[in-house]
Amino acid sequence: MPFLAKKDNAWRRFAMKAFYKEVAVDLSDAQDGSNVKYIRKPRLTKMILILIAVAIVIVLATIPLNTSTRVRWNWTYFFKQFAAMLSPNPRRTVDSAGWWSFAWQSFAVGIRTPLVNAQPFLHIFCINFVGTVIGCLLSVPVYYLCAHNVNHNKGLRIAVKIFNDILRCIPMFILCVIFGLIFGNGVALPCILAIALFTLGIMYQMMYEYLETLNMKPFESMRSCGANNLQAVALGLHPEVKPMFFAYAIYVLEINIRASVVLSYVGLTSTYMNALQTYIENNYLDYIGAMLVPLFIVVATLQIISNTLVRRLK
Amino acid sequence: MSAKATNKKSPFRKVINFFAGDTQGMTHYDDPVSAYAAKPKMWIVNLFFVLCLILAFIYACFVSDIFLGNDRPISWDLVGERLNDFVHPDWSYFFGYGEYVFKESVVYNCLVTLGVTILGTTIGFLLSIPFGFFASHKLFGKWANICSFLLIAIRTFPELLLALFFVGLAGQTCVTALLCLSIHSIGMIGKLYADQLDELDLDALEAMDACGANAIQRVHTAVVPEIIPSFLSVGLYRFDINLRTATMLGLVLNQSAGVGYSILLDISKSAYSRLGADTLAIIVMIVAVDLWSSWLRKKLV
Repeated sequence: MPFLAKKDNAWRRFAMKAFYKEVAVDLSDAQDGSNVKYIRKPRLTKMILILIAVAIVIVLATIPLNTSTRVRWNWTYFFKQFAAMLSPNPRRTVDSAGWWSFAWQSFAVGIRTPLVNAQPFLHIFCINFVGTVIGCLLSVPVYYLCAHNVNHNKGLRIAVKIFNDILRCIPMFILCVIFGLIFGNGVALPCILAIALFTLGIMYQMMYEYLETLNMKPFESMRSCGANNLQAVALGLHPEVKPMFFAYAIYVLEINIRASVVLSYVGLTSTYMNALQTYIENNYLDYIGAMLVPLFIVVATLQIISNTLVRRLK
Repeated sequence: MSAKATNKKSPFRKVINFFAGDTQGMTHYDDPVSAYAAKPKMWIVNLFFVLCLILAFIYACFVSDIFLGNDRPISWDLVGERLNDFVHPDWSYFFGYGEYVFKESVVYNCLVTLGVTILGTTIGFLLSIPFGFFASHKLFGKWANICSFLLIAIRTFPELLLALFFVGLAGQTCVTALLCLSIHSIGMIGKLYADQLDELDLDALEAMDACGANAIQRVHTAVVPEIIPSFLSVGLYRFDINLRTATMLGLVLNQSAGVGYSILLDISKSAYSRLGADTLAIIVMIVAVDLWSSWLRKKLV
């Protein structure tokens, strides 16, 4: 606390005691014969906890909790929603066979009902697949440029990193809005581009952090054999990076599928996710339950595959 | 019969051995040339894989209608006009002076978003402590699988869908946003907690036991100091993600959750200078929080 450094008063003594701790450092190798030295370290955890408490007090004072609309806790309706999701409504889906057939239709064929006419889950999956593949391919040169053991040019490294950090910070639906300004809303292309850039932002960061932990000896031996930089990367580093690349790519695909619900609001219309929203708003909860089956199966499978791959490779 | 023996005989193993070389026993080669000639034929597998990937990509391109709607020409004049509005944000709307009240402004909406995120992350941080403990394999053995499956189920549910369900519980209010953020955070924070607890060193606990400490003293002295920094860094990491989620929640919860709803309004009214203000505010807010939390996490761990 530099602004308290001059004066010695009660507040300063209190602050020093509350926010700093004295830590003993072992100096048995030191020349001047001193064995132990005490240094002052900030109590970071305590500081953060106090910060959170202060923030919560400020937030409770400012945000419109309970002021404009009174919250009515409707627990029965909430639990009835979940019950209705799993029990076919006899007036609509006829029986459980109808429920399962609707699940299959929402996965592969397309949803054709009087209320909603929408594309199947396969459509949104393919959009995510195309976007993820493009993003992953774009990220390959970027993560090699960001790793300090491959690229020794510090200026270039930092420039690429800053650009990508800003890219990573932009939420996907804002990217989609920006591309929508150019290509028009309601088309797949801006969504695919948004997903690709989002993927690039995540992929490059995970991959370059993994790349920096790698052993550089294969690379150096390739260099000493007379390979140029590109050959050394392709034969010395890339085989080691490749399995992790696929593991992370599957992980990002899964994130994208979950995040692409938001695209139904800003970019795409008449998709699977739009149908979900329409059905919830119109209380067709048995349809929602049927539509969530493929989503759950695909996302859980991708999650399990990528988790096992990452755990085995590390 | 052991599993290894059946594996050797299975046709699948034969195929793998043909492509990847004999992985069971080492073969001795007299010179490097013959060893190189007998190298595993992985290029066939790689070629097959790449071909499959390319075919899947082409198929996905056709299914996703990437070529649909591109036949209508892009009018670059209109695009230029929109982009010009977009890069000149409406400052009176941004700060809430002139024709706008402060409560309509972007800054106020961003403050609401930030507040909801802080509260939601804190509640989620506290709620997920028991989940993390029950999902740790080191402490609970195979019973931990139940809780870790529950955590996977929570993570699988998309946030916006969860928000739509919570609208049925508490209406379109801030409370819904809080519930959605906190409950959805449990999935990831709980899993990361469990990972941290699995890395925990149990020797300190044994040492405390040997000193004759009781249960509370043991946990307070041997476990808490070790896990608190990593738990806090996990919470900060989730704070970043929750901020992004909270900006999206506005799409579902109208004004009460913050800045997302005004983006939806701007698109529908084609007010591109206001859209620029909203986008600028979101990007600045998220970049600032991201930098701050990554700096703090570096200091913590």
